[in-house]
Amino acid sequence: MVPSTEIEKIAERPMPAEKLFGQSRSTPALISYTTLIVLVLFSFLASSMMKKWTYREVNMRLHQELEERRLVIYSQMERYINYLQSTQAFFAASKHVDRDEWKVFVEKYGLFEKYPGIVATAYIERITPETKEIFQSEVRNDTSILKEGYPDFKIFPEGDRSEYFVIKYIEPDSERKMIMGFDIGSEATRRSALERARDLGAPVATGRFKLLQDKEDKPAIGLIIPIYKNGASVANLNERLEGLVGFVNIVLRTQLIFEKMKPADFHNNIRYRIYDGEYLTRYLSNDHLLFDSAPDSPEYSDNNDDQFTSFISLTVAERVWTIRADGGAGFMIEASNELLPFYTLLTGMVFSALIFAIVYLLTTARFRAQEEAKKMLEKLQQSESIFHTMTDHSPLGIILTDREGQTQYVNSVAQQLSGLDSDACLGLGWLNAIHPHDSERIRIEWLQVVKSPHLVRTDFRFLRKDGTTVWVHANIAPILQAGHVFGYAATIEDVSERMLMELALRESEQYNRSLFDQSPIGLLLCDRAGSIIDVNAAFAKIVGRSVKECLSVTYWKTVPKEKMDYEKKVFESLRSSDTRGPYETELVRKDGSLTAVRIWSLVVQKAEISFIMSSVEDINDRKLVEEGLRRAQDDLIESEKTSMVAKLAAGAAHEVKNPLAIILQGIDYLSGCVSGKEKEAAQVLLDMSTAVKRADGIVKGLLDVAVFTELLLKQENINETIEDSIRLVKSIADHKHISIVKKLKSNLSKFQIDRNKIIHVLLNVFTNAFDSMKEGGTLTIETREVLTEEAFPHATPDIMEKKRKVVLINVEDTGRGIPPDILDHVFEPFFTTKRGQGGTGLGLSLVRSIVQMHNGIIEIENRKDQSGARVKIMFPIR
Amino acid sequence: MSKKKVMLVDDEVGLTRLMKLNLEATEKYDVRVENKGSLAMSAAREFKPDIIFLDIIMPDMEGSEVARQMRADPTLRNVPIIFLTATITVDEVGPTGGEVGGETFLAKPVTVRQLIDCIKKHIGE
Repeated sequence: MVPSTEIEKIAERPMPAEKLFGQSRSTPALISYTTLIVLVLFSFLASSMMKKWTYREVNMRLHQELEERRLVIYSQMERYINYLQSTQAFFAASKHVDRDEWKVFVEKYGLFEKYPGIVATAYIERITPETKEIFQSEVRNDTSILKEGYPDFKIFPEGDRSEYFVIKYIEPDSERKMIMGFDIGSEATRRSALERARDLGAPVATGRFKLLQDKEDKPAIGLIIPIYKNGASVANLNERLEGLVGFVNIVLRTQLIFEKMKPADFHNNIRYRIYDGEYLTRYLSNDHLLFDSAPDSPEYSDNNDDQFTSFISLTVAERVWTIRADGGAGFMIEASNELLPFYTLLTGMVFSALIFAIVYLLTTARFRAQEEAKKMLEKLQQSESIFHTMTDHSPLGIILTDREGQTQYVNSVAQQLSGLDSDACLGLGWLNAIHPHDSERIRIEWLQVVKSPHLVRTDFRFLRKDGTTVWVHANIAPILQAGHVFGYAATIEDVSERMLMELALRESEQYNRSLFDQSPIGLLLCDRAGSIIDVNAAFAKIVGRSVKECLSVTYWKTVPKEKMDYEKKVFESLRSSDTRGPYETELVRKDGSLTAVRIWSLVVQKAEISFIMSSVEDINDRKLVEEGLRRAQDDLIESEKTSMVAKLAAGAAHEVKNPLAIILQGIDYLSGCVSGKEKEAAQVLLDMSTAVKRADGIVKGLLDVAVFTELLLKQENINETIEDSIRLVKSIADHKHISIVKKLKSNLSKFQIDRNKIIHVLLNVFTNAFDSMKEGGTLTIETREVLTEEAFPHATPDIMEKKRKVVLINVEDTGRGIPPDILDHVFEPFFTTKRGQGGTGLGLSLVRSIVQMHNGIIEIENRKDQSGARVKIMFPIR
Repeated sequence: MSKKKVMLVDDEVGLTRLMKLNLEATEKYDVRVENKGSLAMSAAREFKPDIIFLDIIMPDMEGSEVARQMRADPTLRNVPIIFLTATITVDEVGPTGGEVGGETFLAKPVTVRQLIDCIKKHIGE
């Protein structure tokens, strides 16, 4: 079922790790080890990162310290520069500064007390060669401090130079002896500094130099400030050059300056070194080293990772210094100790997170599992719900069974189809509802399915409790799960309607076919070209062929030559219009004879092709019947005429009878009056009497022809009546030597006749026959029981039904026969060929009237086998 | 011997006159003639005939109606009634009359002889 894939998805949803590792039994272990490895690696990574970070932090710390130190150093140096600036100010303020004034200044300033590292401070005067001697003598004679002055004073190094920058005043005094008179301009480093200071008009620091008095090379620098003429403008270089008088300097032992500056904090762990110059690498030469906070420490190896080094530059008195800070392990420890809280926090957080994750996973695992289970359950329920909805509302019956074929579930439609309720269907119960005819077969099929799972399609009937039968079509399929059968599903469809429809269709087709085949009217289906596609038996009969023969000929073979054009036209015309007819024509039978037909044609469509369907009606009978009808009509007119005449005659007769009666009575009377002697009179009377009698005879004949009121009908045996009639004429027959042959069928049905009238008829017929025969001859009288159509093929229903049983009286003579031109008139009243012989011509018309009154038929025709006439009289057996 | 009384009811005057003449010429019969059917009844009551000859088709009253009236009358009920009529033929009833449908008919034209024979047949000499 579709939803199961949803469930599968959930159930088999791979855990993220599984996505990587796939799914197998060892996966959890794999996951665990992998996690371990990952975490270990992560730890390494983390630790190295932490290390880096720590180092960075330490570095930063170092640098921070360095910056602070710089500030300190700078401010410290500022102090010294301030001193110089003070001296500049002093000199600027004084017209002349004497030695002792200088000394006081310096002492009062407290230079040596307050400013560590100062070796000396000196006033340097610029001396030109011209003033050299004056200067020297001046100095020698300066007794401001020493009474004796300085007799040994001289400018050294010896030599002539363009200018001399001579140390004139110097403090402390201890230095004096050595330094006073030194031309510091002679020393390159100092000289450049001097010039720079002169040019810039600002304090300038020298590079590192070795003090004269030092034996070892201890770092010392000088700070120099230019002194200008009192009141001189020193706005630009020229002025400065012009105004330069001298310099004041201080000589510093840089090492000492900063030693005193040791900050309280972890200075011990940082080695500060100050270099003269701008260097930002490790590779600083000690030549430029000004200060080393840990001069005895070994140089650090570059490869030592626990070394932290930082540089910073500093401009002091126009000179760039570089301060290098090195932090060793101790520093690192100290620095990192500061980071300890952070580490702790970090570790703590990591552990917290870890533990949190574990706890979370553990606690939520169950929850998640429950959630998953709930989701799956939900999906399952949905699936169930879908299933139930589908099965409950399915138009098909659904039966589910377990692996053994035992019914587990039956939906409502299946119950309804089988007529069993849900419980009755359980197990194999539903098989009980199967119609007995199909029961065995279905059981077998069912067992086969259970044995070897495959799809089975089958049809069978349910016989429901209420006795009704339902045709169903069932599909039985195995239900698989992961390749194993765990049940079967049968879907059952009510096909009764379909069956019924199929049956109905088949019946309908059969019905249609039988309609076609059994139609009494000939049916012909042919194509546009006239090839016969289908015929029924009636048509075949019309054209005198078998159905098979018909199918092998074309329609044109049945069309007479003279009708061919017309028929072709009909076919053509059917192209445009749809029906044609009815029209009367003739067809040619197999034996070549023509047969009259009436044809309707219409175009029918069958699978997009059009055919011509014709109904062909045999109208031969009808033609004959039409003939008969026409004749009957004529007869009717005749009989109408007759009856009219008869009525006239009757009226006339009646009227005449009375006068005749009077005449006769009169004759009787007169006979009584005439004696026997008057022979003539007697003869006259006799003649009169004869005449009257004759007239009476005619009148009688007329009256006979008249419509008489009733027949006196009685059940008679016709043969007896005929015998009686024969007896009456026997004498006449014998007289003419006419033999009478009787072929009277015995056991004829009796029927009702007016015996006297029939005798009259027979007498009339016999008499006529005798009259037509000369001497000798045979009168044959035959009776038999037949069907109308045999005796009188063209009798129409209004005269007589064709299949009516009738008694036929056949009277044949061997006489002259009746001339054909007279034959049509024999029954006409007053028609006689014997008028001369007293024939009234009323005989046969009366005979026919009588026969018709009996609902019979009389016909006269000439014999075909020989000369003579035949009279056929037919009475229906009532 | 008393003469038999014969009554003739017929609208044909000439005929009845002659028939009366002929019958009375035999001296055997007393003949009363009535030409109007409607008057036949009273005439018969008065004449009290032994036999009545009735024409069927009469203009004022049909013979059958006259016969009915006569039969309804107790005095005339037993008198034989012969229908003398032109509407039938001798063939049907024979020369001296015959029964058709319970009634006796005699066919015109009829001779005296036939009349007498018919009378004899029904009421004797």
